[in-house]
Amino acid sequence: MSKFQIFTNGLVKENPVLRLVLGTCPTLAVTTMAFNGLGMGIAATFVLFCSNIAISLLRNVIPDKVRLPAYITVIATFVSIVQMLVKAYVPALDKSLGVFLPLIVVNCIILGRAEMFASKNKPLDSALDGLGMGLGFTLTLVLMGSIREIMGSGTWFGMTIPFLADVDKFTFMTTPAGGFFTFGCLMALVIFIENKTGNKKERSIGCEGCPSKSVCGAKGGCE
Amino acid sequence: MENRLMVTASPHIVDRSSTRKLMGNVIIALLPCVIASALIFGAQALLVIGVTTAASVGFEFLYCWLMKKPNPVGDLSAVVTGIILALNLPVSIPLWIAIVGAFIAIVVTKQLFGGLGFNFANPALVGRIVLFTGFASRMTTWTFTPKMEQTLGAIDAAASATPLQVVDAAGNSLLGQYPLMDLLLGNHGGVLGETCALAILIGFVWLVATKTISPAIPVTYVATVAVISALAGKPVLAELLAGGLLFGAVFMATDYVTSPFTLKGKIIFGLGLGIITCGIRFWANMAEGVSYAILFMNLMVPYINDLTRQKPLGARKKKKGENK
Amino acid sequence: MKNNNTWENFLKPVVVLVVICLVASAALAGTNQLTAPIIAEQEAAAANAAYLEVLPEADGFEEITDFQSSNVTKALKATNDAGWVIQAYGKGFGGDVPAVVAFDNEGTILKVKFMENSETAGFGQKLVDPNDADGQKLAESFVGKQGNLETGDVDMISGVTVSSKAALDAVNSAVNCFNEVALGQEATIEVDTSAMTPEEVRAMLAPGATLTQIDAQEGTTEVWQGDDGSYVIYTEDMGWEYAPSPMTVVTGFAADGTITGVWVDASSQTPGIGDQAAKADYLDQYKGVLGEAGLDGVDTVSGATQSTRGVKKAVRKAIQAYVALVPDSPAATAVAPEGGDESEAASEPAAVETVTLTEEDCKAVLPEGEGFEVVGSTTSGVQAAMKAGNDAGWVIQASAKGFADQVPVLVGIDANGAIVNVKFLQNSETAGFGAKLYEEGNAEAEAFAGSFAGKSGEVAIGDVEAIAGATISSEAVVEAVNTALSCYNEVALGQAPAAEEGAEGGEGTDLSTMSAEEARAALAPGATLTQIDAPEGLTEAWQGDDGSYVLYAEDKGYEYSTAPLNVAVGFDANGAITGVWVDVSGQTPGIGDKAADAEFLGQFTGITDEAGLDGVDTVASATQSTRGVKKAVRKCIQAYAAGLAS
Repeated sequence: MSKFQIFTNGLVKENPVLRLVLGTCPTLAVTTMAFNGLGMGIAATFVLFCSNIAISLLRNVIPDKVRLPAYITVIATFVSIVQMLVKAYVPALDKSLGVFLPLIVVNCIILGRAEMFASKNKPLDSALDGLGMGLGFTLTLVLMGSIREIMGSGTWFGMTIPFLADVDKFTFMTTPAGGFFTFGCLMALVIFIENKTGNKKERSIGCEGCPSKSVCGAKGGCE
Repeated sequence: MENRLMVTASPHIVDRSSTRKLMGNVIIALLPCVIASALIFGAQALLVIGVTTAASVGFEFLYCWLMKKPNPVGDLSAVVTGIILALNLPVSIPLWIAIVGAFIAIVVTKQLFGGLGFNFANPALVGRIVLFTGFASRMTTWTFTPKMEQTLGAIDAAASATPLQVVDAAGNSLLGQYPLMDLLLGNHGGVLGETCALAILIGFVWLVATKTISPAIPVTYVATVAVISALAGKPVLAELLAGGLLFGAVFMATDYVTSPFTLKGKIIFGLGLGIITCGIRFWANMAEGVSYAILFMNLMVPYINDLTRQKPLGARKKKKGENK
Repeated sequence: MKNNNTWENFLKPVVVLVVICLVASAALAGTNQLTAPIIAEQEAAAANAAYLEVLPEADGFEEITDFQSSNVTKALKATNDAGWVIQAYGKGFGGDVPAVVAFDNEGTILKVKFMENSETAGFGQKLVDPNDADGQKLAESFVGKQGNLETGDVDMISGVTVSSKAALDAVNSAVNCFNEVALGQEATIEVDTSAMTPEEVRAMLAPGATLTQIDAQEGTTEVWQGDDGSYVIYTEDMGWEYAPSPMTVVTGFAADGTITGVWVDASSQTPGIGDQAAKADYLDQYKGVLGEAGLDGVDTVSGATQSTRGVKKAVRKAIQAYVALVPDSPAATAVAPEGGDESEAASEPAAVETVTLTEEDCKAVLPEGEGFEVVGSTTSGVQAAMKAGNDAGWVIQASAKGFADQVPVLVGIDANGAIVNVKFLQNSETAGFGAKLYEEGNAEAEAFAGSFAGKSGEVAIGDVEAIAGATISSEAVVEAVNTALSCYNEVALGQAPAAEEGAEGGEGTDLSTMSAEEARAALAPGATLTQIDAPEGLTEAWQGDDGSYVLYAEDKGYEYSTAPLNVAVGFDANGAITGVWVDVSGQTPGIGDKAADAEFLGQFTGITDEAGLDGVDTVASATQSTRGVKKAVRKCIQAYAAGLAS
């Protein structure tokens, strides 16, 4: 894949949330408001970018046996740094993200990309992959957050939408049930678009990196 | 997904039911409630019912047409869903909200999962619950006729509460003081279908007489609620007549797709419904527990079915340790 | 090779991990160095920002730590002597309600700011929201005041009693602290009564007496008798229905039977809610109460209803036990008829407290009026009556029994007897129902008030826009307005004052105390009546020598009534109805006896035939009883038309 393709991979084709179904926990939790989604996305992108580079640089050094603890330590360090920086310079974001900021450590996207890409590719490629995935994550969060916020509270990024001011708000959307529902609809939408544009390219998940390897009955990988 | 045809073990007897015939009977059984709601709440009730039903049928037709599936509108199941959903709404509901409910019921709960026979829960029920969480204030605004207000005045309660919600200043339920005749005939606040118990009972009799439903679920459900109410010291008859219990027991819990096949399964189903409904009504924060009880038990149905499988004719029970 | 394996399998992983951790720690430590001061500074700045906001003239603060006043978090003196800033808190609904108060050096409050609290959104949170008018108004109402303040001194937020009181407590605690640290006065330390020993509690309730325990009466857990005739009685009540154990309530009685005080152990109730029942402000209400009748004036605390009601019930048991012990005490004769249940509808006395109206109050409902003077009125239900010195009209405050208690209204009436404006005053009706009446900015209440303008004579509930769902409170308002209009008739037009109709079933109506002869005389004035055979459908018929008639008919009225309504209809010589009299004793008290209301019955006067009945409205919420009257009158008209008309 070309550098550009690596970058755009994470936007739609292999969108981490909607196609790889990684990082669903913060997705559902912080998308009650678009601003929170944006904040979370940017924080996660930063961590993803840095950790991908670091792990790619160390990929030949870290022995296979201890790769998971090593990855987690690296990721956790970056998350703590981000948390301290956010607390110092953007306290409002820290307040609204609350516990989900430190929870970026266990965000599957970061660990997943470290495992699937950064440990096998050069630093520059890994950096681009990190950026692309992070951007895809952020865009998805903002999209979901916007939908839920507009339908559920009638505001967008905190600003009241004028022509919705008197309409009853569908508060169901800001509940967890509404989150799941929106999530499902967006996933369906993305699959639909992919089917229509006929883009069934080979994915970067091989059987090796797939967590379902042991229970999968398909021969020769997915699709 | 497992094949959702009504599979029971042999012997099978063929009779002349078809979905349309069954649904037709259900519609007839619902008519007393429709008429009662119009009498109690006025012409607006008919408008709400009409719009919801039209929306349900419309959505089903549109969805199947867009997805290039054979059109099932003729089997009248969408009409039934529409009427039942409407009867779960208060008369003052804005019509667009009712239409949203129809969308959730038909498109999301029924069609997206595969159409009739594949829904995991009663469509009208899910529609009602989503509307309740999404538009809580609209769904709990009750209109009162002067006669209703007098009754409420007589028991010193405020004219914006249904019988299950009336409490005195200390928060104790005043349900026991509610005149039973008012509860039976529907002279109280509530959603369109739940108020007139008499109409529901007439519908029930029709459904049983035409063998459209088995009385097992409604009878078990209501009996369980009666027993638990008595044990908990609550006014039994009032608890039975108030709220959505009778309507839910007769029309919503008995939906074929989402209730167990066998008699044993049905009884377990009814028991579970009764226990959960009483649990929510007496010991939880909500006044009404029927909808969530039915939803929960709907989800349990596959397990109930597994546990109460009919023995095929001629088979004997597998002894432990026997080979397959 | 073995060496390689050991390195690969054991040492390398360990080394790699250790190195990674070291590097990570270094990075973290470095970032921390960089950001920690910034974070600390921010937190301090946020706190300081609040202090500077209330006292902008200060250029810095020095903290005073040596003080004893309770409920104070920080006391700060401005380094440039600009004043003092004290942060204190009061116990609110969900927790502490903190306030930062700025004082000048003499103790005058310069500014008050409420800090973040965990009160309910839309209620106590109003204190913190800078855009909330009510919260701002309360904060501003402290400015310029000195010393300890009461609820009447500031603009409490209506409907947010508990949080407002907590805010007031917070400011008062700050004031106490100021007095201590700045003025050198003695510290005010809150006594925690819940930590008292039983002996201390008893000593508090029966001061000066030596108490000996005697056998507990039925319904009590302990009884102590004092040598001066005082008693201390222990009772219990569950209070909140899900409480794990009952509350202990200790009531002290003085020798004359009045309650000296009540002490409550509310530890089994919901913390933060039920322990309101143990608070001094609530329990103070019991001081001086004599007998069960005295309990009617004790309010429960909304939001802690079950617990405070439980205390009331326990005190009632204590009073009953006391009366059993001292039968000839004044407390015994003050016993209310209904022991356990507090049905407020039955025992409300007719008298209402009088109030004085200020010029400002009057102008609110009669803007053109000037120079208001008090006038006397004997109309029952009237609390105050004022005449405008410039003859612009009258301002009358009247009240009527609503759902929970009296509902007062202020009515401005112009010189022609038409209502100019109506203002709803603070009442104790249910929040979200009758409480809407005095909620500022409530659209329904405003529409309701506005719908009275221009009306005169007597107002029927159908004439105005009552608040939907708050029927009883709305009807009380209409009754109060009509009382004000009757008062106007009395003071402006010199008519005889209207006696209280006693619609709440208390004293009994004037009409029902009339004897049968008096009722007939009222219906057929001036005629001599002789009884004749009652035609079909009637129970009695009387013929007057001037061609008038008085006919009696019956109807069940309310479907569950114990006895039928007895209705007497008077017809003049031309067949027009002179009046209707009704005996409603079998109907629901407080509701069915509306059928005996003069306003309702007045509608029948002048009717000549059945068609005229179409214009008679039933009274909403007393529909069955008033409909019954209408049916009985119809029977009389039919009988009259059938045979008796000449």
